[in-house]
Amino acid sequence: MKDYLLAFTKIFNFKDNASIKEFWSFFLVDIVVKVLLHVLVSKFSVSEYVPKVYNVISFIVFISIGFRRLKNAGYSGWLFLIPLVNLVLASLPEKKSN
Amino acid sequence: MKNQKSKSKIKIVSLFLVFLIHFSCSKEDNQISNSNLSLKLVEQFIYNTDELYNSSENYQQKSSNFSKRDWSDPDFLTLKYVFTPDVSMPTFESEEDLKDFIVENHERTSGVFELYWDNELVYKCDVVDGQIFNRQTFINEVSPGSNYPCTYRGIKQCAIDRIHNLNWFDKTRCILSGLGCVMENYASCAADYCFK
Repeated sequence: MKDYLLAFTKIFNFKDNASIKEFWSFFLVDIVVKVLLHVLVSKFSVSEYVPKVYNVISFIVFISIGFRRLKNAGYSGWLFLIPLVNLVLASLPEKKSN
Repeated sequence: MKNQKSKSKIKIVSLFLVFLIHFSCSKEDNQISNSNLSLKLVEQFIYNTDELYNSSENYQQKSSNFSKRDWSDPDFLTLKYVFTPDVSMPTFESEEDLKDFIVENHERTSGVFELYWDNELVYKCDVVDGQIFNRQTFINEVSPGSNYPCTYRGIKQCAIDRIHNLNWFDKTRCILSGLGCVMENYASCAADYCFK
């Protein structure tokens, strides 16, 4: 949860590094939050705009954390824009510095 | 050297995955074009008036369920058409007599044709003297199989339909998050149809 919240604080940070734990924590908690928001909208009449706004913000966070994760793994962040490949590369271990 | 080898392996895997996505998307396109084709065939159906059958009163609606499957079939679908003639039609003793009448007098056939998909209107047109006017499609407004059973097949179909009906932004988000998007849709479908 701490890593998930940390990702939001670095929403526009595309340059630093992100660890595997940070990336996958965000990835999994994000899914849970989206499902919870969906349930809130469908069962408790919460405004439809809440998940929409969240989706836009979390998408930017997802891209930025992905860029940082790939940089951490030793690849160009732009590779994160390739579907499926992005998740494979994001699973690779941290690049060891010389 | 070892690092270069692993990078080239990753490039090959990446190319393979891109092709995999490309071919899986092509399959979806074919499915969409097939469904469009079936709608066109239905349209020809009216011209040919193959399946219209008689009713006891001249102005009564003529309708038929020509494809109905249940949930034990993975390709569940309920498709129904209704034709309401504007003009007075004689009463016939058999379907064959009605068919012959319409084929011979197709230029005098007028009315409203409606196509329902799972009891939701998806297509409507006016038939005036055998010609089709004022075509309206409501396909984008319909969520096929709007009530899914709480079974694996039902939830799977719900997730597929939801992903197909996403807008461009959500579709982009879905493509990039890959399995995350699929998991999210499965979970939200299960929440909707298994915990009522």
